[in-house]
Amino acid sequence: MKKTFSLILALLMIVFTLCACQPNQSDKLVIYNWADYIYDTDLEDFADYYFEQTGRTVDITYVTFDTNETMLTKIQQGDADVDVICPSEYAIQKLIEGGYCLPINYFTDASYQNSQYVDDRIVAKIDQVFDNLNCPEVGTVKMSDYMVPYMWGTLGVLYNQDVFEANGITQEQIEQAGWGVLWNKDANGDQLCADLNKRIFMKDSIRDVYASTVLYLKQYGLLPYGYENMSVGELINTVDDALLSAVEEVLIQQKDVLYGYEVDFGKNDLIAGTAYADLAWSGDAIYAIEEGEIEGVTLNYFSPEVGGNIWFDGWVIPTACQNEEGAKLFIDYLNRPDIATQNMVYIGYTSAVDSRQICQMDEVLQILLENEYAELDEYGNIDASYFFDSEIRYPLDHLDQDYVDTRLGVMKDFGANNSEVVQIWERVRSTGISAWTLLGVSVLLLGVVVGTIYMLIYVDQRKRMCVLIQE
Amino acid sequence: MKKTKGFTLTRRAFAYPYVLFLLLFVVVPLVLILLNAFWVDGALSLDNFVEFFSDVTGLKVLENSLIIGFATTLLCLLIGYPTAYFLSKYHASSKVYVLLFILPTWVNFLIRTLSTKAIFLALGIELGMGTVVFGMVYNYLPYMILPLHTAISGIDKSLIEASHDLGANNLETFVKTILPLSWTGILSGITMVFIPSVSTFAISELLSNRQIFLFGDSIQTKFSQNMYGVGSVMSLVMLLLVVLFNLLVNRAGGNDDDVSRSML
Repeated sequence: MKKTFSLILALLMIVFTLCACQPNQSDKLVIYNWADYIYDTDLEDFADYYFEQTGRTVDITYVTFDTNETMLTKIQQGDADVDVICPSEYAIQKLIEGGYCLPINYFTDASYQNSQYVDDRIVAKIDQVFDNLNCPEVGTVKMSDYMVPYMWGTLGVLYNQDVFEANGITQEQIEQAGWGVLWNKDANGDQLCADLNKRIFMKDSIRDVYASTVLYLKQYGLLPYGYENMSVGELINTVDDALLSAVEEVLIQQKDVLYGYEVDFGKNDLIAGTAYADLAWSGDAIYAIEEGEIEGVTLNYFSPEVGGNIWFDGWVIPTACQNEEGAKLFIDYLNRPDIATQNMVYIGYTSAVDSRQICQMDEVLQILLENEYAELDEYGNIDASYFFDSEIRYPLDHLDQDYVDTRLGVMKDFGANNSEVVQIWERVRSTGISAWTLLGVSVLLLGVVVGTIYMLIYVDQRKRMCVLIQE
Repeated sequence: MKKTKGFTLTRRAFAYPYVLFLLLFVVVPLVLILLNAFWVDGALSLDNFVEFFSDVTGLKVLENSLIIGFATTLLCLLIGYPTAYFLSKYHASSKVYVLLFILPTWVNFLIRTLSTKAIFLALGIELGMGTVVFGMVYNYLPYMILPLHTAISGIDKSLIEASHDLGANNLETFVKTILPLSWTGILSGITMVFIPSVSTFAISELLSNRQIFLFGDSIQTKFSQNMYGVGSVMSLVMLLLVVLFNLLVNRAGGNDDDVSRSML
C-alpha cells in the first residue's frame, strides 16, 4: 500500500518536472499601467503584431496600479516582475534617479518604426524640465532616453455652466476668476456665486491640490514676500515653510465653501448635477463634458490664465524587465497613429502622438468617424475638426516652449519635503472638525435616558408608599 | 504492529490549516508593523513614536475618532437594547423577526452606505458629522442587537416572575433583574460596535465627501505616501487601544466565563 503511494508520488513528481523543463513556447510580457488606460483590444492586436515581428507568440499580463506611490513602492521593494510601466513624469524622475530604469533610446535609435510620430514639442519639454537628471552609475541623463511619452494633459477647473448662466455669470467672468472658482471667488476676491457654496469639490490628491493652491495664491497676490516674481514652473516646485503656511491658510479658508474632497466620484457628481465645480484633469474633464451632454448638463473646463500644471505619463522599462524586446515593441506599437487614436477615443486623454501629423491620416479619421468624433461634410470628406481643434483635448499653445515656461509648469517630485506637505494636508483635512459637541450630546442623551428611568422608579415608589401610608 | 511515530490524523490536526493561516496573515503582518515602527534607517529607534506623539494633528484626529466611536456605540446601545428586549419578550420563538434585523448585513456594506448617501442627497440633508454617525449606527446596529438578543432570551423567566412576586414593578424588574442579567450581552455588543467604528474610514469618507477625517484615513494617507514608519506607529496605537479596551470590558464582566467566551 505504502509502496503504491510512493510510486504515484514519484510519477507525479516526474510529470511536474517534465512540464517545468519543457521549452517555453510563448514569451511573456507584463504591462504595469493605470486601470482603464488602454483600449482593450490593443493587447490582443499587439499579440498578433508581436508574432508577425518575432515569430513567437506572447502571453500578455496587464497589471494595474491606482497611484504613482503604489507603483513606486512596488518597484523600489523589488516585488514587481513587470516589463513595462506607465507612470507620471515625477515618478519616472524618481525611478531614473533610483536606477530602476533601462534606457530605451527611443528618439535616437533608428530601429523604431513609429518614433517620428511622437510630438517633438513634448519630448523637448520633458528634457527641458528634467534637465539635471542623475542616474546612478551613469551620470546625467536625458529623460527622453528612458521615457516614451504616452498621454498628456492639464490640470484645471471643471464647472457646471448651467448654474453660472442661471446666476447671470458669463464664461468670461468665470475664466477671469481662474483658480478662484474653487474658492468661490470672482476676479476681485468677492463671492462669485451664492449657489456655488458647499458645491465645490477639491481633489484628495496632495500634489494636485498643492499646484492649484500656490497658483491661486499667485493669482490673488497672496504669495509671501519674495515669491511674486517666480515663474509658474518654479512656484509649483517650491516647497518651503513660508509657502507651505500660506497654502495651509487658504486651504483651511476654502473648507467653508467645499462640498468635500474626492478622487473618483467627483466627475460623476458633476454629471449628476449635485456638485458644480471641481479640480480636474483634462482627460477626466472631456469624459465628464461628453457624459454631461448625454445627461443634459452643460459642463465646461478651463486651465486658468494665471498658470497651471501640465503633466505627461510615459512608458519606461524597469531594470527587472524579462522581455526587453517585447517591451520596446509594445511601446513602439502604441505610437502607431491608428492605435494611438483608438486609445485616445477610449480613454479620453490626449496621446503624445503629434496631432499635426495624424490629423489627415485616413485610418485615424476612420476611427474618429466610427466613434462619432468626426462627421462627413457635404463633399463626403471626413471632418475631424471637432476632435483636433478642441482646446481642452489639445492645449497646443501651451506646448510652445516659451509660453509653457510662464504659464504651464511641470511638477517634479517633492523629494525630501514630501512628509511636510503631507503634514500640512492632514492639518487642513482635520481642521474644523470638532467632535466635542457630539460627545456632549451623547453624554446628555445617556443622562436623560438613565435619569428618566430612575425618576420613573422613584415616582412610582413614592406613589406606592403613599398608598401604604393611607391604608 | 510496529509503532510508528510521525503524522497521525488526530482531531488536533484539523486545526493546522487555521494555525498556518493565523501565522501567515496575523502574526507575520504584526511583526512587519513592529519592524516598521521601531526600525529606522537600519537601527532600533523611537523616532517614529516621537514624530507621532509630538504631532498635535494626529492626536486630535485620534480624539475625534474615539469620540465618534463612543457616540456610535452609545446610540447603538440605546436603540439596540429596547429592540432586542422587545424582540426577546414578544417574539422569542420566532426566528423571522431576528432575521429581519440581520438581513441588511447580507448586502455589501459599501452598497448600503452608497444608498444611504443617495437618500441623504435626495432629502437635501447636508453631509457631515451627523450623517457619518448615522451611517455608522445603521451599519453596526445588528452587531449590537444580536448579542443582546441572545443574552436577554437566555434569561430564566422564573427570575423575572420572582422579581414581580417580590413587589417590583416592570421598570424595577428591568433595572434590577433583566439589566444585570443581560450584562454579558451589553459588553459583547459594545466591543463589537466600538472597535470597528473607531477604526473605520470608508463610511466616513463616503458619507461626508471625505470632509470628516478620521484616524483610519490618517493611517491610510501615511501608508499611501510611503511613510510606513509613522503609519505603523499609528496602527500600533490603534491596536493597543483595542487591547486595552478589551481588557477593561473583560474586567467589567468580572470572572464570568460567558463574557470571555462571547468576547472571542
